[in-house]
Amino acid sequence: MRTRIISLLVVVGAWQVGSLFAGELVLPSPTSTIARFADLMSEGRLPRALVIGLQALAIGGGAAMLIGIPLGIVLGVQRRLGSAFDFYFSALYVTPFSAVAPLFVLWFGIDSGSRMIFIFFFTLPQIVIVCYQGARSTPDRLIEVARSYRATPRDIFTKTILPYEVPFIFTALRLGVGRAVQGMVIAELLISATQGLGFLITVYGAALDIAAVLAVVLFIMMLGIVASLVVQRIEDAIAPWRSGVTTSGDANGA
Amino acid sequence: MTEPTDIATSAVERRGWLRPRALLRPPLVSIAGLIAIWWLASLGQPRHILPPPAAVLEEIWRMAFLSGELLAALQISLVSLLVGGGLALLIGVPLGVLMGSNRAVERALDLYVIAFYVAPVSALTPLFIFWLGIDLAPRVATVFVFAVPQVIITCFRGARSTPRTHLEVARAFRARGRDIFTKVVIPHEIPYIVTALRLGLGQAIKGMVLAELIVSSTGLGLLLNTYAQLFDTAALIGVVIVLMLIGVLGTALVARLESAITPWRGPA
Repeated sequence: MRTRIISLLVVVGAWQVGSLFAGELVLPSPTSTIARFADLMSEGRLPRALVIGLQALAIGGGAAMLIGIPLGIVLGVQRRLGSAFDFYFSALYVTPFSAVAPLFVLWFGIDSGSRMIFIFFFTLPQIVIVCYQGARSTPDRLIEVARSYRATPRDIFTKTILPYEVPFIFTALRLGVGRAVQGMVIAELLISATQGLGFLITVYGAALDIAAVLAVVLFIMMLGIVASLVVQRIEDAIAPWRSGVTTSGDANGA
Repeated sequence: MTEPTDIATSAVERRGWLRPRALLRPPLVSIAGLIAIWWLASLGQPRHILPPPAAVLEEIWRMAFLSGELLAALQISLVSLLVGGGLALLIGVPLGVLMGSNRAVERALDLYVIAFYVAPVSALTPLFIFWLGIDLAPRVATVFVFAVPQVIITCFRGARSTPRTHLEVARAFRARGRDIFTKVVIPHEIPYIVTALRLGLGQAIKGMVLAELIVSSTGLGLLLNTYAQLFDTAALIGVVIVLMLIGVLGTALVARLESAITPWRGPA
């Protein structure tokens, strides 16, 4: 903990010194960034932009989870379906999704519905892939034991594969939440030019109000981090047998 | 010591999440089916909403071989990809190994690495415009921040997962700290570096495209912007497909390299 605090002080100190050299205009100091952040908060701009973003995030990301988790499990259990379709999710996952944004504008317009659909497709492959791998990697010996005790296919699914799958579902949720926030930011930067946190960045950037841009950027980054931590906490509470996870071990999830 | 990580992620790593088996064997029948559905869906549609597959293919052909704009754009794009991705490897690999083999370094840096890994780094891109202009530098910076956390984390994981038994044997034979590092930790690390290369490449391509759309309209990003404004959907989808192919082929290629280097991890 002490090392972390020292390193945090060093980084903030370097930022402060850097802003002395570069000038307040190019690199606003930590204090003025925090002041600007407080301004934006009390003016209500940041919360309002956040609420707008969160709506698209909750619907798009939530739908991706609701559909992605069962879809991944089905693909993992039905081997034939899996080998016919896993390619698309892997391909979607490595595709630079921002390239598809112009198509989304053409097809779905620039309102919040378009952003929801973008977030949905941005988040879906990650969730499907993790759940797919989980169902697929159920150890054969577990299934064999179940079979030798004459478990029906349905029992094997509900009593062997699903329990094995639980940690994978949580991993999918944790990674999915992070990815949904990323999708939200990209959608707000590329799709809708009129609202949301991404829009605030664009506006303040154009106004050369760098302290405000930094404040929004830090706010978004915090949002991503807090979202992952919350899922982690829920996970620790529900599935405590997975505890003992170090912070660094945790981020290795992808 | 066994990795104190969660079973899911380690199982995920062993079982193929990191090994894009799917990308190496595209299901040709189902792709043909998808193209057939696309063709049927495009029948009644105006061309600017959903062009038929043949029109898209034609556009790719035109951009690649007749006008040459695709190759020109690729050249521009690849510069930022190679410079930014190269820097990410150059800095990320040693940093990750250092963090994995030294607790103090780990504690000093893990906060930032995780923050950048979890946080939406695309929000930083507009800042790079302000700090670095609109030329190559901000695009390289975007590619770098997209790729480097992934590289660091993968290499960190490699160094950290060096089996304790190996370390103890080395120590029992009175290996010095330096010997342990060069002869035990580093050899164990090599496959992780290749994995870092593959995962980093995917991230780098995403950073490259985003920067070309937001920072400066050049390369493939310029093509995307132009054709979107012209409502030339066939060409737009063509560029998207080219980008998908770059991602898929690049990833599959490095995956091949990975399984060639580490045959004991099983076929990719």
